[in-house]
Amino acid sequence: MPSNPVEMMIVKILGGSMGTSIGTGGGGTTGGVTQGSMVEVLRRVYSERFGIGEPLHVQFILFWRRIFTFDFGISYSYYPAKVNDVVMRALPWTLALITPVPIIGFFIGNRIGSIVALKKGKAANIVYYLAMYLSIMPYYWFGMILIYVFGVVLRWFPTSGAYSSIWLKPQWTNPQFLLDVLHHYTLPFLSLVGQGIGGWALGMRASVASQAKSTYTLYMKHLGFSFQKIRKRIERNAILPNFTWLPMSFSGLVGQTLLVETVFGYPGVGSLMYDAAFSLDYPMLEATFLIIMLIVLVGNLICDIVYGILDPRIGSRYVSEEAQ
Amino acid sequence: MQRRSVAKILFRSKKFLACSTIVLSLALLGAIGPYFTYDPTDYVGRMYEPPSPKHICGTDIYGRDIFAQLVHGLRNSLMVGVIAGGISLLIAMAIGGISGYVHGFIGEAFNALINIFLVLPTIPLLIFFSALVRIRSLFLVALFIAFITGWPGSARALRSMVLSLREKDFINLAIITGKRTRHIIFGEIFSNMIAYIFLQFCGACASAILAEAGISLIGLGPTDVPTLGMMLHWAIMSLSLQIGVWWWFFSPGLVLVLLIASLYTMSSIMPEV
Repeated sequence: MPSNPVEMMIVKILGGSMGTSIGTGGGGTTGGVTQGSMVEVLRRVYSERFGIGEPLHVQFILFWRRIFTFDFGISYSYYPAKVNDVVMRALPWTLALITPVPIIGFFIGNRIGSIVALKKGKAANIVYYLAMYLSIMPYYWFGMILIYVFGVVLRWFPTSGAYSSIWLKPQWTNPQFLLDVLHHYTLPFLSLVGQGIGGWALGMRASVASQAKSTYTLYMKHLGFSFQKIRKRIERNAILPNFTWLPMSFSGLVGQTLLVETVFGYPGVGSLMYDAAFSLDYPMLEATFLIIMLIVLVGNLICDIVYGILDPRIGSRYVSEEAQ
Repeated sequence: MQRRSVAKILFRSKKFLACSTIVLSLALLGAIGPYFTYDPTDYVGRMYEPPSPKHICGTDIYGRDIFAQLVHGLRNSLMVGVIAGGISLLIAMAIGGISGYVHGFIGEAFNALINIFLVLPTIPLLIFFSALVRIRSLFLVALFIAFITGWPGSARALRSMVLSLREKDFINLAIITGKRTRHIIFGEIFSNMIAYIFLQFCGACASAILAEAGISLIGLGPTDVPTLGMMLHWAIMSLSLQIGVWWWFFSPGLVLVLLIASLYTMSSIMPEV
């Protein structure tokens, strides 16, 4: 197996049969076009174009220039497309998959946790333990079960891709296309969201249970507030410790999205990274890694801002520090 | 006396008993099973045979016995778990112990190190590693998992435990009698947390197995031996899911769930230290 992107590129151009002859240095022939010297020329051209022939320290500087200028040059595996174009085409799919997952998972998980902590019912307990088992289960395996049950046996949902192949390219203004996208979106989304709910429910149950024992709850009960009002107060306070885990969950979520994209053949950043890792597409790997870190960082930033809104004490402290 | 009380603390919990039974029986299956099954690479049946007494878990696209793959994969996955879990626990003990016990700049610096490694995304890093190293042995993958992604979680847990133990009287006594810091951390603090450290080891094992399965799922795991994750990879790549071959992906996933769920449940038990 060639271990150099240039060799891989040449093999790709000349067809798989060339792989062995390049390794031994002899000039193989396919279609009468390629002699040994021809391969040498190709190798030189691609080395120069990819910047691989340079000495190591120059390549290192080139690497930092690519990172800071956001200009990753030409992709090896999608040659001759630019890395930026390919990544930008894939990014919306990944963002669409990743954005709603923590939000919806957080809300559903918190609701389950608070119901289980406040009302001891059989139904609530069953849902709670289901969520717990779901969060221990590897999400990709859960996704495969979803594919099998809903995609193959029941035939309710398509098993792979982000839209049907009758749409040659995305047509965002067409409502039927949007419906089709939602149809494809359901299974990968479910397999991602199922993973988080259990953890949030667990945290919320403990948090609500400790708040329910506190003195203000007792006081409200004695004053005769309705259960709904008390619950609202308790949840408002209990959500804070749980919320601090949200930023921590992002780096895990990014990895989960990558794997789920591969299982479902979803055309996002994860699939690009997967292709790039197999074809030694270094610029693509750098770009996808940078994008992933940016997603994690932006997610953390948003969480910090939302935490200031959720907890007025923190928010006002920020403001008062500004004022000083 | 110390050792016996550790076992007593752990086995008092029924949950621990049940989970350790599951893990031990799976480990037994992985240890002796490979000597009694077919070779996982042999073509022993027809293509896509459903489960039957002859092939307990059916056969795959080439007619290889899935139960044989399962047993071999289980052994290799467990080995990743034990190697990576053990090494990451050692790292976690060193770094978590220092950051919890030592006051001042050094402790804070080690704490910062833990926090930095804690937010590194596991799967993308493993993909990156696999792109750089083309031929990967099981041991190499386990080492990488241990050094990059395995230890920070345990290190943080051990740190908080050390932080609370540091204030106990016997530690002050040890300091007054002039014992060295290294001796206090390993001889006094960790020897009183053996049960807790063992539970952390279970958790680290589970995370390592899960990480390896995740990276093998996309075909970037160890290249020399089959693991549970790689079976799932084959099942996806052959598109057997889409034609309704459920037995290929179901059994490795089920074993993975049993293993990981039991290990995590064991690690979540809180012993009184």
